[in-house]
Amino acid sequence: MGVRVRPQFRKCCVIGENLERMKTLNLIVGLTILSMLYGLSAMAHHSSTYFDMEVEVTHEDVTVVDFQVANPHGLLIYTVVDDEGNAVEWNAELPSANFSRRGGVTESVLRPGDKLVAVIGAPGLPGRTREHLMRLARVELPNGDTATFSAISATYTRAETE
Amino acid sequence: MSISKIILGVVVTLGIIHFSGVTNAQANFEGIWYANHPEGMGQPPLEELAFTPAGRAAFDRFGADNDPSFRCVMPGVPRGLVDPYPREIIQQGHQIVLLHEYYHQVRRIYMDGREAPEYWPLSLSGYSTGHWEDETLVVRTTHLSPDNLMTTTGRPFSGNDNTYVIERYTRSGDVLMLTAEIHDPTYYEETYVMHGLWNFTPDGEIWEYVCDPSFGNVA
Repeated sequence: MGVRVRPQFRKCCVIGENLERMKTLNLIVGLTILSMLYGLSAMAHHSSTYFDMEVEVTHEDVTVVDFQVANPHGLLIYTVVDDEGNAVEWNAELPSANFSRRGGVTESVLRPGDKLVAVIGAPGLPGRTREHLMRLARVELPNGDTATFSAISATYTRAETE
Repeated sequence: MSISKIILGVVVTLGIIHFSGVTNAQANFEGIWYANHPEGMGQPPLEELAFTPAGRAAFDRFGADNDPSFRCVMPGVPRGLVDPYPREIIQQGHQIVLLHEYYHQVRRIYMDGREAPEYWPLSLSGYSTGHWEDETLVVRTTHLSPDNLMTTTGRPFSGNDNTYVIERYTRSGDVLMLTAEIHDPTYYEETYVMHGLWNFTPDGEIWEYVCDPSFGNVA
């Protein structure tokens, strides 16, 4: 069986309440500090609207069917064998092509037929997305390379530098 | 010419300049800016929003089928006021131009006192005019399209004649700050306020953004 699901801890919290009441200087300082502390948010794209960001799904020993780096977001299609021995096709949504390519995730990274050690991500919310869809968080390749993703970033890391 | 007349002339001249507004300072926003927004993309927490009944209903209806960005429609105003991509600002005498990487959006903010032409249509970018208040750029945008949202998370925007947006941009060193007030009384009991932050990145790059709607749908 190549599927694992486990809950994730909520990462963040509500911050920056009532910023509009701050005077200009306070606003400048406040926003700058907030930005330094937290940086860009996972809310940047559609993550929390369509995916359960508190759950992590791991598919092991998967086979790439297709890999497209595109806007508004890329797509990894793969198959994973379920408990009954059936190959089930999943779709994993990547960040936009612009963010993926900036992080070194290009079309040549994955090709149809490639075997992957693991694909990890947040599953689609029932009723919000089609079945067997996740928002991709991490891909582990047999050579030890990894690709990690947020809604607005991607990082391809070669094994020897990890 | 006596000293007293010279002093009087200087004082009068300074007074004219002051009261005519010529002394209004202008900041330099030219260049490429990389997004570094506060948590939540500078949006107010959902629990603090005061929806009208119509606004609540529109928010509850939201789904992938009515998300314009999945159809590769640019986010425009207000949704595109704060996006996670780089943008370039070009300052000219009569206008300030915002060139967004995201969806190739181009915004023209007219600074020469003009008003929207009589038959200017509703559009995703609307019609923007601006002026300086000291070193703060103040932008007013009207003529906004109803085919838009506040956020990617489905907070609605009505885009009717009662909607308009006020943006205030201020630079502090290499940081550009935005406070935007979105006035949409159809969907919100109070003015919706969002914030943006960008870092000056002179060696940054604006990439092409080509969108294929076949990759947009999650449903």
